[in-house]
Amino acid sequence: MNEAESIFIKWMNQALAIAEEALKAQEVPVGCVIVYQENIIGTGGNKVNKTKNATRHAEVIAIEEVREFCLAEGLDEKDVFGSSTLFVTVEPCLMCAGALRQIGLPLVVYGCANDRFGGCGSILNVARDKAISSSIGPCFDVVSGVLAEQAVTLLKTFYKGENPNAPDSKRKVKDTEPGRVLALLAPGSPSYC
Amino acid sequence: MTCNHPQPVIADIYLQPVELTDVFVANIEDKKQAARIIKELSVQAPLGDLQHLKRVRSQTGKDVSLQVVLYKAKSGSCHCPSDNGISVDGLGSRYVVKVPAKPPLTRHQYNQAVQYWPVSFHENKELVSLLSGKHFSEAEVQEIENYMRQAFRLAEISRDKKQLPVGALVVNPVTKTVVAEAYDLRQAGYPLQHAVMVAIDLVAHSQGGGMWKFDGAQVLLLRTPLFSDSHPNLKHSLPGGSGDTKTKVEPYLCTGYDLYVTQEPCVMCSMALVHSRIGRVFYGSSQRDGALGSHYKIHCQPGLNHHYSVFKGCLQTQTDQLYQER
Repeated sequence: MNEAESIFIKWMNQALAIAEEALKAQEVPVGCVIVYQENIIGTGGNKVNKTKNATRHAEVIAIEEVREFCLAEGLDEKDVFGSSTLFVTVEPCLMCAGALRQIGLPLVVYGCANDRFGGCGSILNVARDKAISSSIGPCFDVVSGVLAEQAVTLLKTFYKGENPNAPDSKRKVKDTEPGRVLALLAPGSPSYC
Repeated sequence: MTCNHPQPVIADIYLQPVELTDVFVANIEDKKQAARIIKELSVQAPLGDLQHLKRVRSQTGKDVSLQVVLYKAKSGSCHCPSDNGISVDGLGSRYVVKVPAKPPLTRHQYNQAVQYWPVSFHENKELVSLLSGKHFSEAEVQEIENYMRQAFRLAEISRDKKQLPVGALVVNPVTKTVVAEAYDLRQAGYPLQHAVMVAIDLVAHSQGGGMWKFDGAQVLLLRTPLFSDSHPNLKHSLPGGSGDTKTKVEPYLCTGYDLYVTQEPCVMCSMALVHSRIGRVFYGSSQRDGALGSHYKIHCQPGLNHHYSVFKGCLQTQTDQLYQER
């Protein structure tokens, strides 16, 4: 494991912990941290059900925490976003990819692919589409597959309606290829990102 | 004054020219043998993904009266006819012709397709209506324009407040009530507060949720939380629900609602509307990077779990003026 990988894993574990909290709150278990100068300055888990607003994805919530951080610290938002990295357990959706470009975040590290909504290549590659740069901001770089299995396991637990507090032996989590499970999710299930 | 009919923004598959593929055909010289030959071919060489083709074409001419499709020519291989496992008596000389590769979806595609080979065509009634230019009644067109006028006024307020001139209105088309009125706030400090994102959050507020705190100065008004739990008598029935009983359904996100917005939404807002399960979107002006017709068509993007109808060009003469200098 090289140094970059071990750093990615360190922060992704933090994002996974937030995804687990979302699961306990009966939200789609996606977690996100924004890291600036080796510190977490914003975190977010999905809050779609709580807010009755389907756009309250982990990334959007983390972005808003960073804005509060900047306000409190007297830092320029643009500068801070422009040198931060976002870690999220699942590939950002088309909406979040569009949002991340507008705030000028340069690097996104994610866990598993999002076969239903993914905006970093799974459905469309909004992250890298140069044609829309003038209206929506610069492209961002993407690293994928960091702790993907853990992210998928959380999603499977949620969509099977299992109790995450049940002892391990009682859970029925079958082995599935990471990312594949997302394709199997029933239409009309709550959105995740 | 007659209103302009809103223009449907439909998926590219309905607009594409007819795609062609090569097949081997053979002449049938003795017409009396045709029924037998077709029957044998249907067993020996089923048409597979070319089911839309009629198996036989009758050609007007002196020598050949009937031609029958044998099998698809493999792309890149030489076009020399072979048996390809077919053993049917009575087939004449064989050659390659171009035929439509896919079933036609519109009348226009059908008319193009039959110039190559006879095909079957099942016309989609909804699509015919959409493309007819008479999808909406005069009264509906007037109603759409009235709502768009309200969205336009919101855009003007936005402009007066030194914001981007974009106005958005969410309407419940069953009760004909406005659920949320919003305008663009991104230049007030938060780049994600596009008019559509603000409108979606106001709808959430109307259902007892919501995330952003708006003060009166920022947002014109937040239309009444009519459908909260504390007002059980005001729950509305959703369009398209089971018609026989008046099923009362709790509002869920923007399900069944219409959005009126002065400018074509961006990719973020278009996807936010997918997540929010919006019913229909009407917009005025297109924009180059827009995601509902111009650069993407998020509302009919294959692979997504919700699709909505989109109409553009509503009150466009006025809305275009908002974006002229841009």
